[in-house]
Amino acid sequence: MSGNPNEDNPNEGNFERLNVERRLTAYFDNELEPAERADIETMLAENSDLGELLDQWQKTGDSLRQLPEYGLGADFTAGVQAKIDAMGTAKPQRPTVVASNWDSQKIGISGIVALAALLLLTLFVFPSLVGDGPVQQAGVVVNEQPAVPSTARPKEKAKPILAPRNSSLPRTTNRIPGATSSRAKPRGIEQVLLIQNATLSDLEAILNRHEIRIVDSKGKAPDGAHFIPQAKQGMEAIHIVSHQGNMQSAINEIADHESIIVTAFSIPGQLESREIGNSRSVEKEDASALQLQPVALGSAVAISREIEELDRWFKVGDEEGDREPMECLLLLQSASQR
Amino acid sequence: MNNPRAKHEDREWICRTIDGDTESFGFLVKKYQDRLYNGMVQILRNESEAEDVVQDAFVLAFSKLDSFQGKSAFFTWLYRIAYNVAITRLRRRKRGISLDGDDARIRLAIPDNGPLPNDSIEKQEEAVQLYEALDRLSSEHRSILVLREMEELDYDAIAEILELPVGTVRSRLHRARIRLRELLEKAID
Repeated sequence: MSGNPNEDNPNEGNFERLNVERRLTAYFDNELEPAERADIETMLAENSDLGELLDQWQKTGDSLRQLPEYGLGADFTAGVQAKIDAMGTAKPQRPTVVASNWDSQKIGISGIVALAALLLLTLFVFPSLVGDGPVQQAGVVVNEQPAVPSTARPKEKAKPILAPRNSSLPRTTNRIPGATSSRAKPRGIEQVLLIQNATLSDLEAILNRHEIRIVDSKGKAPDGAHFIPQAKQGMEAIHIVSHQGNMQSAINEIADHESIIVTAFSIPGQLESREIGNSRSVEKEDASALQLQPVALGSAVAISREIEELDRWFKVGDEEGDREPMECLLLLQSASQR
Repeated sequence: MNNPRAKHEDREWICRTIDGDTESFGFLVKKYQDRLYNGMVQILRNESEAEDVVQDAFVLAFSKLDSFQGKSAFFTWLYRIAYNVAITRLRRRKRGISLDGDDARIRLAIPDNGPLPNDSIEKQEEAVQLYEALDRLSSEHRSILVLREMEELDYDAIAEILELPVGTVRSRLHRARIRLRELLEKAID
């Protein structure tokens, strides 16, 4: 967009531009408060380019709405009915299912096939259907309520942040599924994210907005050792701590910048411990914990889901309201360092 | 979507279903299947995958119907379930595990009720260009455009379906529109 008043200062300019873009989009979609609308209208009056942009959006939106629609036939309804009827048999805890006459379709062999498919689907694809709680499948939560921004979450009292141990290896206490902790404790770094093409001030602004605390931005442990070898190569290594939810939103927002590339790395000592049933075994993994394994995550959604999944795993057995802070290490590589 | 009458009607069918009358769920399926399917086709760019996703979504919704509290519209809740199933498929596809053995997007064609022979050539070309541009968009950008421009959902509903903060919905929509425009301009050139 033209007319950026902060082009002299790229950092401030970046965020000013992002802010204008967001407001302009919300204005176009009639999602702004009257006072904000007036601001944008002033801006539009001063900048004809913006007006042209909105005209283009309108035209494209009209074209999208005029596209022919895809539809399903009546057979589809019958197919869903067959699956659901089969499910009624498989779900005795549901209220009595009355015979349906949607399409007067007999289940027969197709019903048995549907039942078998449903059972497989339930066990392997949608395991949460056999348990209580929100619908989950492949790391996806299907709560009715959205993942709300940090401001809407119940605030937890800030817990004291312990510096990572001198080896910078992840801590292992209370990380076994099913283990409960009487108090929320920091768990050590669980995820490393390589952030490319962002500036430190960009990240700081986002992290502040999501109430994420920067513990250390020098990439060093208390004994002076670098967290990981990459931190020695001119990268900023930022150790951050947040409560559940905030981290996901923040990483989403970072990764959502078009020019910024985010790559998530797992720490073998952590992720492999998912399959280990006791803390001793986890400690044995520590020796290899610094060998980071890149995970191919190409989008904000994928990254946030990965984090969410990781976070959920570590929280198994934790009681509600006793959530532990989450720690991540951000490796920041600006364009000039690449 | 925000029509109170429609919401009340949905609520009625939901209650009856929970009480054991599955026929009432059939009304919900009939009411929303085409709308949901159209959205999933646009997101997945594949008709047969979209049909599977919509079917799975309805079955999942049925199984969890008693947990639906009516805080959001039923369609938003249903769409969120379908979107999550679709995203799982897209992730598999990204990892190279094609469900049909090849690039599933290639076969998406304009539906039968598409531009008719007597429509202007210009209009037909425009539709083809739009389809091609939608194909080239990232799934994140395509999804948010489908939700806003085709489904005409408000930001809160989009945020709920995509599980994003509203601020991110704004910025992602902005970039999606810019990107779509770029692709269309490139196609015209």
